[in-house]
Amino acid sequence: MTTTLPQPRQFVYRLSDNLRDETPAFGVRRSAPSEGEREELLLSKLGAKGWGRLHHFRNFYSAGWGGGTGKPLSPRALETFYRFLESARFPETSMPSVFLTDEGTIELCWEDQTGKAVQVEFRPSDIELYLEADEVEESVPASEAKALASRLAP
Amino acid sequence: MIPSTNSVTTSEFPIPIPDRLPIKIDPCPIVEAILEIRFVTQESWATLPGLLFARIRDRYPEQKTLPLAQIPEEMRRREPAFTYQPLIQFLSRGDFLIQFGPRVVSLVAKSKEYPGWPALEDETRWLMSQLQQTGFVSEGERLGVRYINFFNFDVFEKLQLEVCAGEKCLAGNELSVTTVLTRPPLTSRLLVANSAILGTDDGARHGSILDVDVWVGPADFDLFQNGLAKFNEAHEFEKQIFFGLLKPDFLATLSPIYP
Repeated sequence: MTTTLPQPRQFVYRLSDNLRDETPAFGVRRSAPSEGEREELLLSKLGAKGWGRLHHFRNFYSAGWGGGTGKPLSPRALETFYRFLESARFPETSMPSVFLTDEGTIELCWEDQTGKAVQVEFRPSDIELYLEADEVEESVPASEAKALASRLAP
Repeated sequence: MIPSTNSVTTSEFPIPIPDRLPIKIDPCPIVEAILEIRFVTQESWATLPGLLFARIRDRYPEQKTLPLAQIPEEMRRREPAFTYQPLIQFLSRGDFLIQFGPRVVSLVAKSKEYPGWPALEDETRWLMSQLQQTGFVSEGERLGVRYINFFNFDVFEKLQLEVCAGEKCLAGNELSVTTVLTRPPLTSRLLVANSAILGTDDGARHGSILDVDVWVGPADFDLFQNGLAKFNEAHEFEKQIFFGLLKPDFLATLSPIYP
């Protein structure tokens, strides 16, 4: 038996039969603008594992995840994260790992060329940074995501 | 007489932007105007309708559950297409209704006659104030303005928009065009189709649709700081696209009134 899901909402119009896109019925949907580029970006910079983790954080971690206190992923933090990734380069020997924090921010960790930890936390309005090699902790505005990525590149 | 309206085409933006925009045209083709806020919250969906309804019930006393609400929450959460869909409507006796879901709230101008931007802006200001007082919005994710216009004829003939194959334009056939236009921080999805069915209280009408959705992303607005200003910017961009697409001689037949 097959069933049809209810229409998400009653639209004020629908296209005629000849123009209507039937792909949603087959599980295909149109991507949001720039979604394709961002998926490619994630795959190229973080690999399939990182891409998969972020997909889960975006779609399946709602309020209360992880035992009831986890906050959902911050859209602003995610936007800053993407802007950072666009300019980021990582050592070939270290694939970054991505985490969702209890606060709904994104943390990206990798090892620099000397094997020392680099941790970058993307928050709604700023970026927290920890460099083990220099024993430095600092915060930079979210607007400087691209500049920070260039600075951290090997 | 065709009003002397100049337009400017920039090398980046493909639609000629008129240097002045009407505040009213007649007949008005707008069949629906929607101002939408997408957000994240730390509250569960079970508590949200009560929190919002407590603030808006004087203006929006009736509730209507939408069909999607029948699907269990766990299933809805696993289907990305449902993420920003409303599950409930709050109805007023006036010109507007409010649609509400776990990640979205929108104000819809429902009347047969579009009430005008100032009325929509006033109601949005009020709704955002109520929303702020509920305290459940952790962060805005997307802020959008969408206008759906209907014409009972093939609108492509009246637009500065053509689809061509080689040197031949696809005219007269059933045609639908969707494109994304950007002018940072604004993004717009434009859909024009000459074969659409409009659902009305009086039945279905066949004609053309010009659907313009404009939005800003999470890094480009702070909902309770500059949200209303961003709605205004998005509305202005929507008007520029709409009026920029109309051929001047067609616009002249719509008796435009300028500020």
